[in-house]
Amino acid sequence: MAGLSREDVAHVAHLARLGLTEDELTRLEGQLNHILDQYAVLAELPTDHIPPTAQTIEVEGVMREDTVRPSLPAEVVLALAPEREGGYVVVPVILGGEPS
Amino acid sequence: MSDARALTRMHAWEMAAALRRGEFSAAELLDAHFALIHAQNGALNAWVSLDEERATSAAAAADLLFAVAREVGSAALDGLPPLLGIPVALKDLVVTNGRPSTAGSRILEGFMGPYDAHIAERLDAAGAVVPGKTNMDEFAMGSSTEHSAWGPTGNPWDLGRVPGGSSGGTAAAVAAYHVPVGIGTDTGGSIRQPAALTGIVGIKPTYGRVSRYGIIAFASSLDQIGPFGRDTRDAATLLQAIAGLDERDSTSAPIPVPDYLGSLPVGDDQAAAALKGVKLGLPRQYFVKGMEPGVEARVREAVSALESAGATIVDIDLPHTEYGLATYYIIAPAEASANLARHDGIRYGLSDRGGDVLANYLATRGRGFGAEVKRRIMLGTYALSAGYYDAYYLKAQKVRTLIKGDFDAAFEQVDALVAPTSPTVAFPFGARLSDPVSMYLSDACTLPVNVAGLPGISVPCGLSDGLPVGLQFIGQAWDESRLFQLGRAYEGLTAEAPWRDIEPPGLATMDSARPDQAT
Repeated sequence: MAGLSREDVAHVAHLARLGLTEDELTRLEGQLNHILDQYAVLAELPTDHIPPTAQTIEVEGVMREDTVRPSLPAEVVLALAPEREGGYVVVPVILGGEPS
Repeated sequence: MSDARALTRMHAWEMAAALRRGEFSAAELLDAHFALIHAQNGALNAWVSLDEERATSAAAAADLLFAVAREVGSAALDGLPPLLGIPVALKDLVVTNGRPSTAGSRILEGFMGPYDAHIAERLDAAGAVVPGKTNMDEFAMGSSTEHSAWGPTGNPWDLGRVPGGSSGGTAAAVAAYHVPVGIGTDTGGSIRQPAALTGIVGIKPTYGRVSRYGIIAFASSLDQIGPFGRDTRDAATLLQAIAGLDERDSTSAPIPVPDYLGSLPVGDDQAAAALKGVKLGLPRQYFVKGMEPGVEARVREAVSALESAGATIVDIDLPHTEYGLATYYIIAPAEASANLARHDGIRYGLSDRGGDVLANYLATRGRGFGAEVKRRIMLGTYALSAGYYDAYYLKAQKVRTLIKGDFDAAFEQVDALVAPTSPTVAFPFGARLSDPVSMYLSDACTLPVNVAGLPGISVPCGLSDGLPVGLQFIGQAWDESRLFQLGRAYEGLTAEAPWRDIEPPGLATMDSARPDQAT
């Protein structure tokens, strides 16, 4: 499998919403390719007819009683927000307009 | 050694008995532990936050219960929970109400838990006393505790070496007698490897044994919570207090929790007798390339001792072991990249405002996450991205089936497996920081167990070059009882071994370095 170019690394960083410095991108290009080299070992295993495992324990379709129960206190949760206005969390501009 | 310090050298089960006899109070017990913490944490950095107020009131509440029960009679005393008044360390991955809960990350600096994790509630109900929260690799990603935003933790055996990780803070605190027991989490070895490197007992229970509600998520199909102790009986008591179904974690299993401690004899000979007729598999592939000769020697000596005591040792092949590392380092980062998306600077935690929402994400996450976390998010995002999903993530999930199948086949022949925990003893600070792959190899013998969802315990089995070596037992799903019995049996067999009496040399170093603060 082809290695990651610096552009690939920058693209993945954008997908992951990580703002990285030029130095970080350079370092990650080397490190990620070194780690991906280790993954190559998996390609030698024939797995066409092997089902994937997502979960190791056999517990399925867990339901609980649909009863009313207290939520976390709104005041406690809102107090954690970086910016709030009354009972709302202030979110940075999402669609156009001037950033506040 | 002062009388107060002597209290900290006891096992939790000895403290519990002494508290019931009224030899000392829970308040005195807590004071003795806080005295050590204050004297040594500057050098050790095992703790990232302390809560003396809450701990002191928990100890006072415990003393009140002891006093009332003592009035009522011995049956009432015996009926009190075994952890009542016992100091328990919590890894900073555990959310606690109104207290800093940072996961070792800058992005959660100042974050106060808005509720108690399930296990924090359970420990509170059991009367345990929590002095504070312990250091860890950021978001539990690491094997050395060097990837903490709050600086590395030292190993009590050699302050220039790592305690292992990611639960290195709890391991160091227990090994340094700051607490008799503590909580860690294990996604690829993060309880067992630090237990091995600090010379204590640590168990990763079966996936689903303990509710993860309120544990800051790393890799949800692998994460599991477990106890550390200075012997198997204490580890068993702590697991008993936190195990079992909780409907707030739909992966916590509706499987009955047996009486762990009840099956562990106090007598050493009686404990060792449990080995007669037990069939143990020795996986060839766990004696990996790069294993230190001293570690291999200690492990093979321990296996011989088990055999001499009546266990049957069978050589076992786990043929897909060599694929474990790659499988783990695709699945865990993939799950992490999804889980850590929640740290977005909008609702809580660090937030770098000043632009639109995208600029906020990029700046917050770029500044808030450390190098290892960024590396894993990048790996996971790549492994899940369009065009690569089948080659990496799906492939790893298929190999996961094969790795689990290896264990299933082994358990048709044997009752449990015995293996090294870590291929090496504690390594010096910085030794593996520049090469992530060499750090990842620290967990070569532990992470296949997480991939298969099985329980594993590490117990100390001697020293190599003056540093602790860990022996790992791996069990079938839900069979933690047998792992405790095996660990206890090995303790019984080696009760008189000279290495059991050696205190970590770093403790004396810390005391002589800070005489002004000694107790």
